[in-house]
Amino acid sequence: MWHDPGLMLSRPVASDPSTTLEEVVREQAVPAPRWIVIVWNDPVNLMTYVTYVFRKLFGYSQEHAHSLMLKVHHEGRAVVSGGTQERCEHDVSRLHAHGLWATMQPE
Amino acid sequence: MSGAHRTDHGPPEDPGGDARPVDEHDAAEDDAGDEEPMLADRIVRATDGSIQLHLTLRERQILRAMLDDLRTVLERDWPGRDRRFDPSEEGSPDDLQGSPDDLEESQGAPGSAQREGGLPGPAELDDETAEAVDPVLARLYPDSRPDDPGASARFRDLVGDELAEGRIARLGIMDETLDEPSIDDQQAEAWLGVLNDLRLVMGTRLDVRDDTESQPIAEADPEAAARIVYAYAGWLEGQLVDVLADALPLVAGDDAPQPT
Repeated sequence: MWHDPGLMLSRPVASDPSTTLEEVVREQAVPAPRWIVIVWNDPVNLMTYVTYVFRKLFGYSQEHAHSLMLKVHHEGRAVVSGGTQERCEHDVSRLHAHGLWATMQPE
Repeated sequence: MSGAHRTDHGPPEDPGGDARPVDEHDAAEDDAGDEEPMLADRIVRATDGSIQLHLTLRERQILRAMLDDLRTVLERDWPGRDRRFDPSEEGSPDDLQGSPDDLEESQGAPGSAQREGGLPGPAELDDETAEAVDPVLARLYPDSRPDDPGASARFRDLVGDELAEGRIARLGIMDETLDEPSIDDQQAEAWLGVLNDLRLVMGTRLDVRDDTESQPIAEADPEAAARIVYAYAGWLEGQLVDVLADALPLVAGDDAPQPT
């Protein structure tokens, strides 16, 4: 399972005037911007099919895939994966190939 | 999301007509009240590992007609493709000799698709004169970045062709194996993708909602036949999902198989 998306937000931002430019650059260069992939509810896709696609594409357990599917169904959307922009583009294209309504956005 | 599944209910009507007889024991159990009897599964895993197709001739005929319809949809361009840069359609050097008036006229022709040498920007996509996107194609090729139309267009440029080709390829596999008595797992994956595409197209056309399936199909409904076929495709798809999901490897978090 991907880590809690909220954790990255606690990353401190350099605001100390004594911080050198080099330190700022180094700090900003280390963590790549994180992206998340969201699957939205739709009335057509079968619940069992969505669970199957989550298991097949992401290797999630039946239990985890099923709870993600229910989250999409009941809450209208769920974050199903996350990572670099490239990784998320890859995931979105695979989800689209499987007919799921997926989008991505910066975290 | 749709809960349609073989364990919930069968199709509202047997579209195959001469389906295999319903098992009497099951029928007796399921026939409480006005419930329709369960139909026998059409897609089952055999002991030799193959996936058996118990489809009647009429069911195969209905599926073939659905495939032809889907092929027509898939052979149309995905949204935005016609706005993409295509070197073969760039003006030839001769065009440069045309008068400025000619150039202006051709660019300003009403209704003509704008072909510029680059990607459409958000302003161009938002332009109310821009071609309306067919909802069926919009569902098959969703916006990846609803917050950024320019990024969505670039994403489609990147993967649109591959998505369309993949869909047409799996349609070809289902078409070729439609009359076979059995298929393998790879072919079943193709069938699953095609049935899902078919239902996305039909569901969008029928404006299916989350509560649609709990409502009876009215006889006077001009879409009644399409709704029955839609339900039938969902019933078949549920069986394919079950067969293929059972073959997925167990991962951490899955229950270990129970010893028998």
